[in-house]
Amino acid sequence: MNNLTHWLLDSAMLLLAITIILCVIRLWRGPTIADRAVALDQITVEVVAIVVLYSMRVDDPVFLDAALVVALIGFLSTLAFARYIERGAQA
Amino acid sequence: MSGLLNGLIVLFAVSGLFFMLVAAIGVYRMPDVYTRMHAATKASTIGISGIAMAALFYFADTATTTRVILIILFFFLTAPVGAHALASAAYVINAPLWPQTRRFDLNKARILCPIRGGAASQQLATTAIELARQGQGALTFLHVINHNGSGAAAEPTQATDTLNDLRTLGQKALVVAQEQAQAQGITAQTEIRLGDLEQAIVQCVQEVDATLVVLGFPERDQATQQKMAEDEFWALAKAIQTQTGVQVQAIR
Repeated sequence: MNNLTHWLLDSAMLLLAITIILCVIRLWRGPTIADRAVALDQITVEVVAIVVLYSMRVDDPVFLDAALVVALIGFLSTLAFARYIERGAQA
Repeated sequence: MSGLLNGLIVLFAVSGLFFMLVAAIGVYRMPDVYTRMHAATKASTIGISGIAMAALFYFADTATTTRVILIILFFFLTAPVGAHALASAAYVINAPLWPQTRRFDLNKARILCPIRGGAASQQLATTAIELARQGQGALTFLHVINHNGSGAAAEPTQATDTLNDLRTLGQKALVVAQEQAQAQGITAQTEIRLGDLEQAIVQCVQEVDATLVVLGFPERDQATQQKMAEDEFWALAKAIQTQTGVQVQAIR
């Protein structure tokens, strides 16, 4: 792989890291627990994107499986979070 | 690696990154949880798909293609489900809406029902109340005193008396309709107007911002009178519809 592609992928991952910081600020501020859940969900999606970019960066498609697993965990945790919020409101 | 393939990789990666950036900015800056969710869900689904497509063209083999398609399919299936669950959770905990949110509930009808009084009006009022109940909407009864001042009476005092009588009758009809609505659990507004029927209805439609006008279809004993009354009715209905753009419904 040429250096240009490496440079592009590196900067792409950096950009995604910055977007994660934006989401962390939202996670910090809230104001409701649902906002925090949304921010967390968004962070997992961005982590998946970073893993996909990383698999290109190191030229190893095996990381795509890791991306799939992170996506799965993210989805399940979002569902669990949503259920927890609903139950907590009822209790 | 060919130039075309490189171009495709960069194109998909950059567009995917753009959407991911939009999603994150949306999560950071949108004013309430629902709008944040809307940014996070849709933009990030497209964003992750773009980045995954870049990986597809980068590796360009069967095993990777399968995984990439799985990732994209997975996100397209789960993002709406997750967002739906979160939205219903946010609704349950009464997450505050943006103060400038404008509610526009299509099923909340505002019905205007002009009544004349008498037995026919009662049937009309029943239908209007039923419509208001179904649509969980607001209901306004209107009575128009269709007076043509000069012909009714020679002396001014006499005309005033007639007018007062008509007003009392109209108010009585309105109260009857209102009570009928109250019995069904609907709080109806009433309006009483003087003047031309068509103008009064049009004006009232604009004032209560009605979404539906319910008109009673005329019933006359004699065939010739019936024909005339029907023609008059349709002319009125058409005039209201063209002047206000509000739907007019005829009730038999």
